[in-house]
Amino acid sequence: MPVIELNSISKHYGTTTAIEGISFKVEEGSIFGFLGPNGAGKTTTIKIIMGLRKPSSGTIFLWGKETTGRNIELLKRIGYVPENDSIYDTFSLFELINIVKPYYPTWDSKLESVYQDKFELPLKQKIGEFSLGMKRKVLLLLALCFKPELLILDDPTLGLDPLTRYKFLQLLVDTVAGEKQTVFLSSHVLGEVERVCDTIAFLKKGKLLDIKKMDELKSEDKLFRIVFQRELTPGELTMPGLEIVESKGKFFLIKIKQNTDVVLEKLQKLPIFVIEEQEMSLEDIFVNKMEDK
Amino acid sequence: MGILLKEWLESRWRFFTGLIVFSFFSLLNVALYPWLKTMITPEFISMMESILKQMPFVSPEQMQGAFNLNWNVYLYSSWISKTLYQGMAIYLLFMAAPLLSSEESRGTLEFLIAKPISSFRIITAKYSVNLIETIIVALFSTLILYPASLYMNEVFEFSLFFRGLIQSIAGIAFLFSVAFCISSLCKDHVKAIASSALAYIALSLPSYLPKYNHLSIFRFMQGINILSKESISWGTISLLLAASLILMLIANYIFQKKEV
Repeated sequence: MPVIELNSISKHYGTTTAIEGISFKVEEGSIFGFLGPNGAGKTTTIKIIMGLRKPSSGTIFLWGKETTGRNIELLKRIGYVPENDSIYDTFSLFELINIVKPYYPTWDSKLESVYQDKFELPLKQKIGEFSLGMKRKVLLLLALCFKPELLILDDPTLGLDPLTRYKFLQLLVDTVAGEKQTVFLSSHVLGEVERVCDTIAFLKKGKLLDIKKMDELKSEDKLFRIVFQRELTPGELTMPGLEIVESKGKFFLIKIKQNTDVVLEKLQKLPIFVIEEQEMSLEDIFVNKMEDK
Repeated sequence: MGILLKEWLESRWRFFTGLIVFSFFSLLNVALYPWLKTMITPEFISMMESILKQMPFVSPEQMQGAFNLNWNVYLYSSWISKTLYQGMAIYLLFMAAPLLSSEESRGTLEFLIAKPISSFRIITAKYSVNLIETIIVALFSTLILYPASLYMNEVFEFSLFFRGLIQSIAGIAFLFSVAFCISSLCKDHVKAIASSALAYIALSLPSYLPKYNHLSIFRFMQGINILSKESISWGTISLLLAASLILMLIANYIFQKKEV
């Protein structure tokens, strides 16, 4: 039985269409990535799943139970990190935990201490004095301490700098690893979901373009920019699965068509000064594919 | 319990501020008494009476209270019939009007309703905690007059003030509910405060019309009927409490329909 099942969900605001005919299933235990550029309808879809907004048409099933609007019993099983990081600024984390805790019968106080230490969050300091990254961690802590069966994360790294984003995601990976939680992660950053998700759905202008398994995505071509410490001799960079797109002195732009890990391992043996993956936007990967179709 | 704790933590400073400010003004009436005693001469009274007679909204009872230097009449007319209801009208704007609207303007509504707490529980917690705090402010600032009376070697007529307070509290509950209901309609707490202030002004209009001043909620909160006839209007109190309950239920209905 899928944890989430959406059938032809649409949401209209007057003449504006936020989402149109969205249908997908999220299986138990999967880490589902929900990708799309800003304004694609990701947050609207999530809010409809949470019952915070009512769909104009279509049906939603959570754990096989049809739901419309807020369902208190189902909300007890869902950990939610909203895109909006507005929390009660005048409260301390200690106060906030004591406010939220009574509503979750499965709240684990030991887990609370573990995450509080792990996330390095001060208990007595006012949340208003926290940085954006710390606020995100507070939301994540509150979403995790009752061991939710479903964790919904709406652009959890929005507004974070790249280093904090990396650390936050690593924290998330470490946290959910080994747990049998179903995770629904919405993001507009491909690299983010690539690290954690097993299935990815792509949304554009309110419509679901495609759903792909991560394995399929990983087989896509990848571009790398490399600067070597010295100029390479002819043939030194020739290897199966690698194509040189552009070269100028010590600089190379290469495309790895298959076996990325194997090719990268071979490349490590060369005198590399800098190697970085070419930033591939969602448009590059998905939209081109859709256009191809 | 969590939502009650949240409401208490959010409103505690407004509550303590109200407690201090209202107690200060309550005691100020006591402190001014010796000075007024020396100031109010028969000449002064006749002059003031001739001025006040020109004002149709000043009742004979109020005039009597204004110049009667009987301790209890003075305290009642200067506190319950004047400062308390006027101060409460302003205080309620800040206690009730931002309750639901500020959740939207601060963006915390999503955080709140994504938790497994029923809308009715959220509404009743907000309503009850803040209304009880307001009532405590009114009660405390009035009851503090008792030790102040002892200090001034005066006899405090407890039953008079208690009856006056019951009427005032019914009015407070109604005004609170009006602002609370308006709060559920607004997405911005500044707009909610301004709209509630306008509603209060509209409710005060009958006070200025001699024919209709019995319809004014503020007139009722002054409790002049208790001072003159010593009777308490239980019928009006029941009506106000019923109206307050209905307004709270309307706010709950509007809140349930909210989308974030």
